[in-house]
Amino acid sequence: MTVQVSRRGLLRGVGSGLAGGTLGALGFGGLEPAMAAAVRPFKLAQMRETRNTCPYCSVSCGVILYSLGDRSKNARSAVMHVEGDPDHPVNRGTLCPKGSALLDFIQSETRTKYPLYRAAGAAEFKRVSWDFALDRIARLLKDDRDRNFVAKNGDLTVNRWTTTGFLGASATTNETAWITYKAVRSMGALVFDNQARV
Amino acid sequence: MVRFFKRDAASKGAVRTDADAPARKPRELKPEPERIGIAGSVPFVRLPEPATLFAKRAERLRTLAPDHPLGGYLAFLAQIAEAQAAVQAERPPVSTAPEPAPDLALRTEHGMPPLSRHGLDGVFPEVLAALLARLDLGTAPEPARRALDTLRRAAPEDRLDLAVQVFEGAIPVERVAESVYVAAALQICLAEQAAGLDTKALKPIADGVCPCCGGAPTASLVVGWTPADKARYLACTLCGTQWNHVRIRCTACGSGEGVSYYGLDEVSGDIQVETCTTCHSYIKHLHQHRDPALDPVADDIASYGLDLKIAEDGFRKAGLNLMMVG
Repeated sequence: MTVQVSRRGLLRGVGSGLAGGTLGALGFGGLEPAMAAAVRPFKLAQMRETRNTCPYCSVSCGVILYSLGDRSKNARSAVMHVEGDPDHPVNRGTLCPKGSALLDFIQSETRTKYPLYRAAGAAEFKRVSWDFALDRIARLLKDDRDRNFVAKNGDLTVNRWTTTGFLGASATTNETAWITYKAVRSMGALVFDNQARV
Repeated sequence: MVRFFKRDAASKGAVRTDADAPARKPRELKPEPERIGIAGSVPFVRLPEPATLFAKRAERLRTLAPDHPLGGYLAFLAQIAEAQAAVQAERPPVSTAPEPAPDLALRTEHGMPPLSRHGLDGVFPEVLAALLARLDLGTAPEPARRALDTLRRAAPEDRLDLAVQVFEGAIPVERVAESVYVAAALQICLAEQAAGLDTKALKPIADGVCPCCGGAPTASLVVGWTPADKARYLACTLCGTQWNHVRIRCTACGSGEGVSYYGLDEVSGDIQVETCTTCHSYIKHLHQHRDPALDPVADDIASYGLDLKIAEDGFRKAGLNLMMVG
């Protein structure tokens, strides 16, 4: 029998333990139990590396988020480090000072994680559902557009709405950006900018 | 700061400016990202430097051996690496390519690695003979010395036959011990041949396959040298070439899903295993940018405890370390 190793380098035919491996064949087999004993008390710590895009500007640098814990089990996972993605053609592992501080952005206590609503006259923000928030935004947009939409400038049809502005996100995909553009422009909104220029 | 804005003649004097250089038109200017330390792309391969490869490995093994559970074996491998370095030092400088240039070009054209086992016929016998003559394993265990004697008595054709099997990764299980010495000689030959290749002509072959000799990777390294800081390279077990492989992507199956890193902080935080739940394989992941002394062969063996731990979770090793099979 031979230890077949394919061109991909996966050991076949013999289990991963391979008691009859090089150590045993050369007479060092006695060392293996010592090695096993040395690591037995310890538990493997799992870490994940996840690719993402920096949300700050249109350069859209690639970042790697380092997180501890296994997402599939009960353990709580937490991002513990952020750095530039060395394989990303845009930034080759580098980040600007804002990007380098992304970890604080993720862990910030004041980070907005869900819609908050402060009713007129109320002193505090209160957590609301996405349905509530989107309904309310739609209502306000519609009211403002109905009041201020300019269909004609003299005889010329212009169909413009200049009293509400829209700010697009910088780390969106082409598809998201396309839909954003279509949604905003189809309402006649002219005040339209992107986070990338901020 | 003011200096940057005063480009007129008034600022001439102690400070040397670019004004001394001949004037260049804007269209002649080219971006020079190297000036800030990064390049548009990382080099695909880093060819081995045979002159230092084995000497540094020997040094690393000697550093690791004391107080290590596998200390005896690490010291044994240090002897082999020292012999490799000595044999390598006596090799004449290579003046010609290992095989005719049209052959190499033809292989590259068809997606095959340029170095093949046919290039071994000429050099391997004399390199192995030199290595066997130099190895002095006085204190090594009896099976190790016996395997060395067996190999010393073996016929040249038999030695070459074993070399071809090791080269192809099909190590005969009854000759695992002899294979270590044969692999050591192969590493000398192939590092020498790989060092003579033209990096521009090399192309990726497949995931986890060396673009120079088709060998398997020993370990994955996150390197720290300048044009490729923190990029990941795989180190070939045969020729020692390092080639770029995108990070967070399995080295055996190419999947980016389910890649995790496991480590034992109590033992070494700079060495992890990269596991893939798609093909259930793992490879050692050495953070060389944190500790430049890490050597793929030496530290893969020194971190054998990690192999034992990760095998309990049912992962198989992707890649191959010819100095410790299994």
